Amino acid sequence: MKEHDPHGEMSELDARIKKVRAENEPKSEQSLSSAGVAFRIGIDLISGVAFGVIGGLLLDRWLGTTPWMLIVMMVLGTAAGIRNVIRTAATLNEED
Amino acid sequence: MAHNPLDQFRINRIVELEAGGIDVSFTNSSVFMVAALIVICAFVILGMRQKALVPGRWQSMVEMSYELVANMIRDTAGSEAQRYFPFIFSLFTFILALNLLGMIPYSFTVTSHIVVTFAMSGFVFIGVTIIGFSRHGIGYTKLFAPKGASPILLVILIPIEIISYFIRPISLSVRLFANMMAGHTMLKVFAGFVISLGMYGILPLAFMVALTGLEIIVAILQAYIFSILACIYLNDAIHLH
Repeated sequence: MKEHDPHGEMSELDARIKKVRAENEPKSEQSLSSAGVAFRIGIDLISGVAFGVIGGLLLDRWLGTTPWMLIVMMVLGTAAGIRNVIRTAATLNEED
Repeated sequence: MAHNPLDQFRINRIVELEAGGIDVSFTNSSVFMVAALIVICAFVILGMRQKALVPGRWQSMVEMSYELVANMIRDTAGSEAQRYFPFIFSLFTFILALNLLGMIPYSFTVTSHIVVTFAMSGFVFIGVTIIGFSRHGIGYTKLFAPKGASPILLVILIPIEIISYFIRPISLSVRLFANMMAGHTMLKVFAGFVISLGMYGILPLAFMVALTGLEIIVAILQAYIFSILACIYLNDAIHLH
């Protein structure tokens, strides 16, 4: 006679709940179409450089330190743009 | 004058209004925003009117759009972010409706103006920052200091991380605005060739048919990218990597 085992049933249910929960955790980024990725990465890089140049020019005009803030901000802005691209690429790589 | 490809982006005041010295006129841009709202409400409310267990064609389209956004939020930001579903869904459907309404000939594309897209991305940026600080307190600033970096490198890395955080709303808004504006300008330029080339105008005309299809894909894709990036920023604020 098969014994009724509520404990075993409960642990089975527990495992199922855990499985569903794990599915609901954030995975690495959902697979976008490659066109979407291309759109994102291009603008990310350009906006970093543009932000650095415009911010640097404005800071120079305000502080009267031409051209030092432009040089510093352009380098930092470019680095930040590359940082954003690397971050996107890293999440895409996790998928594969 | 009518041949100017940039003419389509002109804003015309329909009802002139002024509040406290600020021009708040009801413009053609406003008309299309209201139209987008009406289209979305009609699509969702009329589609769900039957509330059938086995959905009809229209109802299943509404349910599909719901599931698309719900899955997008769950996959990118986790189940904790589900409470922000109404915001992301509104954002997605609003941008999608504006982009698609702009594809109708003689209509106006609201998202081809950077003021509109920057207002939306700025709203996302401020909202996400507030969520981040309210969930993690001052610990949210750890986002700017990568783990395991040496203190000397941190001097360079922290400014870079802060700038890359502030670039996000700019790249988010520029991406949508630039894609919409470039596409619509290109359509108008080629439309000009159709007239001026006379009989050979059939070539640019054929190209424009293909381009219109591409523009519809871009309209949908850009709405999707905008909302998925909002989800990714939300994920950073909730889970703090």
